[in-house]
Amino acid sequence: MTHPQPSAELLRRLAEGDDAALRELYRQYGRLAYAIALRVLGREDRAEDAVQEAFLRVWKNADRFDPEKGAFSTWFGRLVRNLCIDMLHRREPLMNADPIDDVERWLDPAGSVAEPVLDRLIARDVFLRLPPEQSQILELAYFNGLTHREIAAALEIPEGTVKSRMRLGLEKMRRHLDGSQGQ
Amino acid sequence: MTNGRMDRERIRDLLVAHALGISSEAEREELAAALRHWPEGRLELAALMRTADVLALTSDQSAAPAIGLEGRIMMRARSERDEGGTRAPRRAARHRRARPRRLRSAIPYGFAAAFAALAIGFGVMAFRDDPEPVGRWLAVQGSSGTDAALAYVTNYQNAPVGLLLRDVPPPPEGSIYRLWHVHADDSVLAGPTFQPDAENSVALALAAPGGGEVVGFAVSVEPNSAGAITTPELPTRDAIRYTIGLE
Repeated sequence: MTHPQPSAELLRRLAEGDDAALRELYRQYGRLAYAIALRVLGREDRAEDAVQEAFLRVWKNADRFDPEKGAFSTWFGRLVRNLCIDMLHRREPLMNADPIDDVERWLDPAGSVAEPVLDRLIARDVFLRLPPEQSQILELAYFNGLTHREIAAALEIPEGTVKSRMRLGLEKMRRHLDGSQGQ
Repeated sequence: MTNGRMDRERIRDLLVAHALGISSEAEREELAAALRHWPEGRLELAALMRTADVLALTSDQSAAPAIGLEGRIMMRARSERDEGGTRAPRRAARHRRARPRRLRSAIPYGFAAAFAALAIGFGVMAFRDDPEPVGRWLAVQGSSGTDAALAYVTNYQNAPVGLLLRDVPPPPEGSIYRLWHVHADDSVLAGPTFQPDAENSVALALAAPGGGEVVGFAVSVEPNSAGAITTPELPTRDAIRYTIGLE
Protein backbone atom coordinates (compact mmCIF):
# COMPACT_ATOMS: atom_id res chain seq x y z
CA MET A 1 0.00 0.00 0.00
CA THR A 2 1.67 3.19 -1.11
CA HIS A 3 1.15 6.53 0.52
CA PRO A 4 1.35 9.23 -2.09
CA GLN A 5 2.38 12.44 -0.44
CA PRO A 6 -0.33 15.04 0.08
CA SER A 7 -0.11 17.75 -2.50
CA ALA A 8 1.19 21.17 -1.67
CA GLU A 9 -2.31 22.39 -2.39
CA LEU A 10 -3.82 20.05 0.19
CA LEU A 11 -1.30 21.10 2.79
CA ARG A 12 -1.96 24.73 2.04
CA ARG A 13 -5.69 24.25 2.47
CA LEU A 14 -5.06 22.40 5.69
CA ALA A 15 -2.96 25.23 7.06
CA GLU A 16 -5.74 27.65 6.14
CA GLY A 17 -8.30 25.69 8.15
CA ASP A 18 -10.11 23.95 5.32
CA ASP A 19 -11.76 21.00 7.05
CA ALA A 20 -12.42 19.25 3.74
CA ALA A 21 -8.64 19.03 3.43
CA LEU A 22 -8.47 17.37 6.82
CA ARG A 23 -11.06 14.85 5.70
CA GLU A 24 -9.02 14.08 2.60
CA LEU A 25 -5.93 13.67 4.69
CA TYR A 26 -7.72 11.33 7.07
CA ARG A 27 -8.95 9.16 4.23
CA GLN A 28 -5.43 8.97 2.94
CA TYR A 29 -3.58 8.37 6.22
CA GLY A 30 -6.19 7.26 8.71
CA ARG A 31 -5.54 3.58 8.22
CA LEU A 32 -1.79 3.99 8.60
CA ALA A 33 -2.22 6.02 11.75
CA TYR A 34 -4.59 3.46 13.19
CA ALA A 35 -2.23 0.62 12.33
CA ILE A 36 0.64 2.30 14.15
CA ALA A 37 -1.50 3.22 17.13
CA LEU A 38 -3.00 -0.24 17.43
CA ARG A 39 0.42 -1.83 17.29
CA VAL A 40 1.74 0.40 20.05
CA LEU A 41 -1.28 0.59 22.29
CA GLY A 42 -2.84 -2.80 21.62
CA ARG A 43 -6.42 -1.61 22.17
CA GLU A 44 -8.89 -0.36 19.60
CA ASP A 45 -10.40 2.32 21.81
CA ARG A 46 -7.05 3.81 22.77
CA ALA A 47 -5.79 3.53 19.22
CA GLU A 48 -8.76 5.53 18.02
CA ASP A 49 -8.14 8.15 20.70
CA ALA A 50 -4.57 8.42 19.51
CA VAL A 51 -5.56 8.68 15.86
CA GLN A 52 -8.03 11.40 16.68
CA GLU A 53 -5.42 13.30 18.63
CA ALA A 54 -2.83 12.88 15.88
CA PHE A 55 -5.05 14.34 13.21
CA LEU A 56 -6.08 17.20 15.43
CA ARG A 57 -2.44 17.92 16.04
CA VAL A 58 -1.80 17.96 12.31
CA TRP A 59 -4.81 20.23 11.96
CA LYS A 60 -3.30 22.69 14.39
CA ASN A 61 0.30 22.38 13.18
CA ALA A 62 -0.04 21.92 9.42
CA ASP A 63 2.02 25.02 8.79
CA ARG A 64 4.93 23.49 10.72
CA PHE A 65 5.50 20.62 8.30
CA ASP A 66 8.42 21.39 6.02
CA PRO A 67 8.38 19.24 2.86
CA GLU A 68 12.06 20.02 2.35
CA LYS A 69 12.93 17.97 5.42
CA GLY A 70 11.22 14.79 4.34
CA ALA A 71 8.03 13.08 3.33
CA PHE A 72 4.78 13.80 5.08
CA SER A 73 4.16 10.11 5.68
CA THR A 74 7.29 9.76 7.78
CA TRP A 75 6.68 13.01 9.64
CA PHE A 76 3.15 11.97 10.39
CA GLY A 77 4.12 8.42 11.25
CA ARG A 78 6.61 9.70 13.78
CA LEU A 79 4.01 12.05 15.22
CA VAL A 80 1.57 9.18 15.71
CA ARG A 81 4.20 6.91 17.14
CA ASN A 82 5.50 9.48 19.63
CA LEU A 83 2.01 10.36 20.72
CA CYS A 84 1.19 6.70 21.29
CA ILE A 85 4.35 6.11 23.28
CA ASP A 86 3.42 9.03 25.51
CA MET A 87 -0.01 7.52 26.03
CA LEU A 88 1.52 4.13 26.72
CA HIS A 89 3.84 5.51 29.32
CA ARG A 90 1.23 7.96 30.62
CA ARG A 91 3.63 10.79 30.15
CA GLU A 92 2.80 14.38 29.27
CA PRO A 93 -0.86 15.07 28.58
CA LEU A 94 -1.67 14.45 24.98
CA MET A 95 -2.34 18.09 24.25
CA ASN A 96 1.08 19.18 25.46
CA ALA A 97 3.29 16.73 23.58
CA ASP A 98 5.27 18.56 20.92
CA PRO A 99 6.10 16.61 17.79
CA ILE A 100 8.98 18.88 16.90
CA ASP A 101 12.13 17.69 18.56
CA ASP A 102 14.71 20.13 19.88
CA VAL A 103 17.51 18.22 18.23
CA GLU A 104 15.89 18.41 14.84
CA ARG A 105 16.38 22.15 14.70
CA TRP A 106 20.01 21.39 13.95
CA LEU A 107 19.13 19.41 10.85
CA ASP A 108 20.29 21.26 7.80
CA PRO A 109 17.51 21.29 5.20
CA ALA A 110 20.06 21.74 2.46
CA GLY A 111 21.71 18.52 3.49
CA SER A 112 18.55 16.42 3.43
CA VAL A 113 18.30 13.81 0.77
CA ALA A 114 15.15 13.82 -1.28
CA GLU A 115 13.06 11.00 0.06
CA PRO A 116 11.21 8.66 -2.24
CA VAL A 117 7.85 7.28 -1.28
CA LEU A 118 8.33 4.02 0.57
CA ASP A 119 5.99 1.18 -0.09
CA ARG A 120 4.85 -0.76 2.93
CA LEU A 121 5.89 -4.01 1.33
CA ILE A 122 9.42 -2.76 0.87
CA ALA A 123 9.52 -1.60 4.45
CA ARG A 124 8.31 -4.95 5.71
CA ASP A 125 10.74 -6.80 3.54
CA VAL A 126 13.63 -4.74 4.84
CA PHE A 127 12.59 -5.30 8.44
CA LEU A 128 12.07 -9.03 8.00
CA ARG A 129 15.56 -9.42 6.57
CA LEU A 130 17.04 -8.42 9.89
CA PRO A 131 18.28 -11.09 12.28
CA PRO A 132 15.55 -11.70 14.85
CA GLU A 133 17.71 -10.51 17.73
CA GLN A 134 18.02 -7.14 16.01
CA SER A 135 14.44 -6.78 14.81
CA GLN A 136 13.16 -7.70 18.25
CA ILE A 137 15.17 -4.92 19.86
CA LEU A 138 14.08 -2.39 17.25
CA GLU A 139 10.48 -3.43 17.81
CA LEU A 140 10.79 -2.98 21.57
CA ALA A 141 12.38 0.42 21.14
CA TYR A 142 10.19 1.86 18.42
CA PHE A 143 6.80 0.34 19.22
CA ASN A 144 7.12 0.07 22.98
CA GLY A 145 9.35 3.06 23.68
CA LEU A 146 11.69 1.02 25.85
CA THR A 147 15.13 2.45 26.59
CA HIS A 148 18.39 0.52 26.30
CA ARG A 149 18.26 -0.28 29.98
CA GLU A 150 14.66 -1.42 29.90
CA ILE A 151 15.24 -3.64 26.90
CA ALA A 152 18.29 -5.13 28.57
CA ALA A 153 16.23 -5.90 31.64
CA ALA A 154 13.38 -7.34 29.62
CA LEU A 155 15.59 -9.61 27.55
CA GLU A 156 18.08 -10.28 30.32
CA ILE A 157 21.06 -9.31 28.22
CA PRO A 158 23.77 -6.69 28.82
CA GLU A 159 22.94 -3.11 27.97
CA GLY A 160 25.99 -2.95 25.73
CA THR A 161 24.60 -5.85 23.72
CA VAL A 162 21.31 -4.01 23.32
CA LYS A 163 23.07 -0.92 22.05
CA SER A 164 25.19 -2.76 19.53
CA ARG A 165 22.30 -4.85 18.17
CA MET A 166 20.13 -1.78 17.95
CA ARG A 167 22.79 0.13 16.06
CA LEU A 168 23.57 -2.79 13.75
CA GLY A 169 19.89 -3.40 13.05
CA LEU A 170 19.14 0.19 12.15
CA GLU A 171 22.24 0.52 10.01
CA LYS A 172 21.42 -2.73 8.24
CA MET A 173 17.90 -1.45 7.52
CA ARG A 174 19.40 1.70 6.13
CA ARG A 175 21.66 -0.26 3.77
CA HIS A 176 18.76 -2.43 2.63
CA LEU A 177 16.64 0.64 1.97
CA ASP A 178 19.40 2.31 0.03
CA GLY A 179 19.73 -0.82 -2.05
CA SER A 180 15.99 -1.17 -2.72
CA GLN A 181 15.81 2.43 -3.81
CA GLY A 182 18.70 1.99 -6.20
CA GLN A 183 20.97 4.39 -4.37
CA MET B 1 42.61 7.05 21.51
CA THR B 2 40.50 4.82 23.67
CA ASN B 3 38.52 7.77 24.92
CA GLY B 4 38.00 9.00 21.35
CA ARG B 5 36.64 5.63 20.26
CA MET B 6 34.36 5.48 23.25
CA ASP B 7 33.13 8.97 22.51
CA ARG B 8 32.34 8.05 18.91
CA GLU B 9 30.54 4.92 20.06
CA ARG B 10 28.70 6.94 22.66
CA ILE B 11 27.59 9.50 20.08
CA ARG B 12 26.48 6.79 17.64
CA ASP B 13 24.42 5.17 20.37
CA LEU B 14 22.86 8.55 21.06
CA LEU B 15 22.10 9.02 17.38
CA VAL B 16 20.41 5.65 17.15
CA ALA B 17 18.50 6.13 20.39
CA HIS B 18 17.25 9.49 19.24
CA ALA B 19 16.32 8.19 15.81
CA LEU B 20 14.20 5.52 17.49
CA GLY B 21 12.66 8.05 19.86
CA ILE B 22 13.92 6.56 23.11
CA SER B 23 16.53 9.06 24.23
CA SER B 24 16.17 10.79 27.58
CA GLU B 25 16.17 14.54 28.06
CA ALA B 26 19.80 14.44 29.17
CA GLU B 27 20.76 12.35 26.16
CA ARG B 28 18.98 14.77 23.82
CA GLU B 29 20.89 17.68 25.29
CA GLU B 30 24.16 15.79 25.01
CA LEU B 31 23.41 14.95 21.39
CA ALA B 32 22.37 18.51 20.58
CA ALA B 33 25.67 19.73 21.97
CA ALA B 34 27.59 17.20 19.88
CA LEU B 35 25.71 18.08 16.71
CA ARG B 36 26.16 21.78 17.11
CA HIS B 37 29.55 21.66 15.40
CA TRP B 38 29.21 18.39 13.52
CA PRO B 39 27.39 18.77 10.19
CA GLU B 40 28.11 15.19 9.16
CA GLY B 41 26.49 14.06 12.35
CA ARG B 42 23.34 15.99 11.51
CA LEU B 43 23.12 14.28 8.14
CA GLU B 44 23.71 10.96 9.85
CA LEU B 45 20.90 11.67 12.28
CA ALA B 46 18.54 12.65 9.48
CA ALA B 47 19.31 9.41 7.64
CA LEU B 48 18.84 7.30 10.76
CA MET B 49 15.55 9.01 11.55
CA ARG B 50 14.24 8.36 8.06
CA THR B 51 15.31 4.73 8.43
CA ALA B 52 13.63 4.42 11.82
CA ASP B 53 10.45 5.95 10.46
CA VAL B 54 10.21 3.09 7.99
CA LEU B 55 9.33 0.91 10.95
CA ALA B 56 5.97 2.66 11.14
CA LEU B 57 5.18 1.42 7.65
CA THR B 58 5.62 -2.20 8.72
CA SER B 59 2.42 -1.95 10.76
CA ASP B 60 -0.42 -4.12 9.56
CA GLN B 61 -2.98 -1.90 7.86
CA SER B 62 -5.62 -4.53 7.27
CA ALA B 63 -7.66 -3.29 10.22
CA ALA B 64 -9.57 -0.08 9.81
CA PRO B 65 -10.73 2.25 12.54
CA ALA B 66 -14.43 2.58 13.25
CA ILE B 67 -16.38 4.48 10.63
CA GLY B 68 -17.46 7.02 13.21
CA LEU B 69 -13.91 8.06 13.98
CA GLU B 70 -13.75 10.29 10.93
CA GLY B 71 -16.84 12.11 12.10
CA ARG B 72 -15.47 12.56 15.58
CA ILE B 73 -12.29 14.04 14.22
CA MET B 74 -14.15 16.40 11.94
CA MET B 75 -16.43 17.55 14.73
CA ARG B 76 -13.52 18.27 17.02
CA ALA B 77 -11.59 20.05 14.29
CA ARG B 78 -14.51 22.27 13.37
CA SER B 79 -15.21 23.00 16.99
CA GLU B 80 -11.65 24.04 17.64
CA ARG B 81 -11.46 26.09 14.47
CA ASP B 82 -14.77 27.85 15.10
CA GLU B 83 -13.85 28.69 18.64
CA GLY B 84 -10.50 30.07 17.71
CA GLY B 85 -8.55 26.98 18.62
CA THR B 86 -9.49 27.02 22.32
CA ARG B 87 -9.01 23.71 24.00
CA ALA B 88 -12.41 23.26 25.67
CA PRO B 89 -15.62 24.20 23.89
CA ARG B 90 -17.87 26.43 26.01
CA ARG B 91 -20.63 23.87 25.95
CA ALA B 92 -18.50 21.21 27.59
CA ALA B 93 -17.87 23.30 30.71
CA ARG B 94 -21.26 22.39 32.16
CA HIS B 95 -20.59 18.69 31.99
CA ARG B 96 -16.84 18.52 32.47
CA ARG B 97 -15.49 15.43 34.12
CA ALA B 98 -12.21 13.61 34.42
CA ARG B 99 -10.88 12.93 30.95
CA PRO B 100 -9.17 9.63 31.82
CA ARG B 101 -12.65 8.13 32.24
CA ARG B 102 -13.01 8.04 28.50
CA LEU B 103 -9.55 6.60 27.96
CA ARG B 104 -10.14 3.89 30.52
CA SER B 105 -13.47 3.00 29.06
CA ALA B 106 -13.83 -0.60 28.08
CA ILE B 107 -16.05 0.47 25.22
CA PRO B 108 -14.21 0.35 21.93
CA TYR B 109 -15.48 3.74 20.80
CA GLY B 110 -15.94 5.62 24.06
CA PHE B 111 -19.32 6.81 22.94
CA ALA B 112 -21.96 8.42 24.87
CA ALA B 113 -25.52 7.69 24.85
CA ALA B 114 -28.12 10.16 24.21
CA PHE B 115 -30.03 9.31 21.19
CA ALA B 116 -32.90 11.56 21.67
CA ALA B 117 -36.06 10.87 19.88
CA LEU B 118 -35.98 12.07 16.31
CA ALA B 119 -38.21 15.04 15.70
CA ILE B 120 -41.28 13.89 13.90
CA GLY B 121 -41.68 15.86 10.75
CA PHE B 122 -38.52 14.98 8.91
CA GLY B 123 -40.39 12.12 7.38
CA VAL B 124 -38.78 9.26 5.66
CA MET B 125 -35.07 9.53 5.26
CA ALA B 126 -33.96 9.64 1.68
CA PHE B 127 -32.21 6.34 1.33
CA ARG B 128 -30.85 6.09 -2.11
CA ASP B 129 -28.30 4.16 -4.05
CA ASP B 130 -25.19 6.25 -3.78
CA PRO B 131 -21.58 5.12 -3.81
CA GLU B 132 -20.66 7.84 -1.35
CA PRO B 133 -21.85 8.03 2.26
CA VAL B 134 -24.66 10.53 2.66
CA GLY B 135 -26.07 11.94 5.79
CA ARG B 136 -28.01 14.69 7.37
CA TRP B 137 -28.58 16.42 10.63
CA LEU B 138 -31.69 15.42 12.54
CA ALA B 139 -33.30 17.39 15.29
CA VAL B 140 -33.56 15.15 18.30
CA GLN B 141 -35.95 15.47 21.17
CA GLY B 142 -35.40 13.62 24.35
CA SER B 143 -37.97 11.71 26.32
CA SER B 144 -39.61 13.46 29.21
CA GLY B 145 -37.05 15.04 31.48
CA THR B 146 -34.04 14.52 29.23
CA ASP B 147 -32.02 17.06 27.30
CA ALA B 148 -32.30 17.60 23.63
CA ALA B 149 -29.49 16.61 21.35
CA LEU B 150 -28.53 16.76 17.71
CA ALA B 151 -27.95 13.71 15.60
CA TYR B 152 -26.25 13.21 12.32
CA VAL B 153 -26.91 9.92 10.62
CA THR B 154 -24.61 8.73 7.90
CA ASN B 155 -26.03 6.35 5.33
CA TYR B 156 -24.16 4.22 2.90
CA GLN B 157 -25.85 2.06 0.33
CA ASN B 158 -29.26 2.39 1.94
CA ALA B 159 -28.16 1.53 5.42
CA PRO B 160 -27.24 3.70 8.38
CA VAL B 161 -23.57 3.27 9.12
CA GLY B 162 -22.74 6.09 11.48
CA LEU B 163 -24.45 8.15 14.10
CA LEU B 164 -23.02 11.34 15.54
CA LEU B 165 -24.56 13.16 18.45
CA ARG B 166 -23.91 16.47 20.14
CA ASP B 167 -25.07 17.85 23.49
CA VAL B 168 -25.38 14.43 25.00
CA PRO B 169 -25.43 14.39 28.80
CA PRO B 170 -23.52 11.70 30.64
CA PRO B 171 -25.50 8.77 32.01
CA PRO B 172 -26.21 8.52 35.73
CA GLU B 173 -23.25 7.64 37.90
CA GLY B 174 -22.40 3.97 37.64
CA SER B 175 -24.47 3.55 34.50
CA ILE B 176 -23.82 3.25 30.85
CA TYR B 177 -25.92 3.62 27.73
CA ARG B 178 -26.67 0.86 25.27
CA LEU B 179 -27.80 1.20 21.69
CA TRP B 180 -30.58 -1.01 20.35
CA HIS B 181 -31.35 -1.57 16.70
CA VAL B 182 -35.04 -1.63 15.87
CA HIS B 183 -35.92 -3.54 12.74
CA ALA B 184 -38.80 -3.46 10.31
CA ASP B 185 -40.07 -6.81 11.61
CA ASP B 186 -40.26 -5.32 15.12
CA SER B 187 -37.26 -7.27 16.32
CA VAL B 188 -34.88 -5.42 18.62
CA LEU B 189 -31.23 -6.38 18.73
CA ALA B 190 -28.58 -5.17 21.13
CA GLY B 191 -25.80 -2.94 19.94
CA PRO B 192 -22.77 -1.61 21.78
CA THR B 193 -22.64 0.26 25.05
CA PHE B 194 -21.12 3.72 25.17
CA GLN B 195 -20.56 6.89 27.10
CA PRO B 196 -20.20 10.55 26.14
CA ASP B 197 -16.80 12.12 25.79
CA ALA B 198 -15.69 15.20 27.65
CA GLU B 199 -17.38 17.46 25.11
CA ASN B 200 -20.68 15.59 25.41
CA SER B 201 -20.39 14.33 21.89
CA VAL B 202 -20.85 10.84 20.54
CA ALA B 203 -19.75 9.01 17.47
CA LEU B 204 -20.92 5.51 16.88
CA ALA B 205 -20.23 3.10 14.08
CA LEU B 206 -23.42 1.24 13.35
CA ALA B 207 -22.20 -2.26 12.67
CA ALA B 208 -25.28 -4.15 11.62
CA PRO B 209 -26.15 -6.84 14.18
CA GLY B 210 -28.30 -8.64 11.67
CA GLY B 211 -32.09 -8.73 11.52
CA GLY B 212 -32.87 -6.94 8.30
CA GLU B 213 -33.77 -3.33 7.66
CA VAL B 214 -33.16 -0.93 10.51
CA VAL B 215 -36.01 1.50 11.05
CA GLY B 216 -34.81 3.14 14.21
CA PHE B 217 -32.78 3.05 17.37
CA ALA B 218 -33.36 3.12 21.06
CA VAL B 219 -31.04 3.93 23.89
CA SER B 220 -31.34 2.47 27.32
CA VAL B 221 -29.49 2.91 30.56
CA GLU B 222 -28.02 -0.06 32.37
CA PRO B 223 -25.51 -0.65 35.14
CA ASN B 224 -21.95 -0.32 33.93
CA SER B 225 -20.57 -3.84 33.89
CA ALA B 226 -17.38 -2.87 32.00
CA GLY B 227 -18.42 -4.87 28.98
CA ALA B 228 -18.99 -8.09 30.88
CA ILE B 229 -22.56 -8.45 29.63
CA THR B 230 -22.48 -10.01 26.19
CA THR B 231 -26.17 -10.92 25.82
CA PRO B 232 -28.18 -8.16 27.46
CA GLU B 233 -31.86 -8.52 28.14
CA LEU B 234 -34.33 -6.26 26.41
CA PRO B 235 -34.71 -3.04 28.39
CA THR B 236 -37.84 -2.16 30.29
CA ARG B 237 -39.82 0.90 29.29
CA ASP B 238 -38.39 2.86 32.21
CA ALA B 239 -34.84 2.10 31.10
CA ILE B 240 -35.35 3.61 27.65
CA ARG B 241 -33.98 7.11 27.53
CA TYR B 242 -34.17 7.98 23.86
CA THR B 243 -35.55 6.70 20.61
CA ILE B 244 -34.76 7.63 17.07
CA GLY B 245 -37.04 6.82 14.22
CA LEU B 246 -35.74 6.69 10.71
CA GLU B 247 -39.13 6.71 9.00
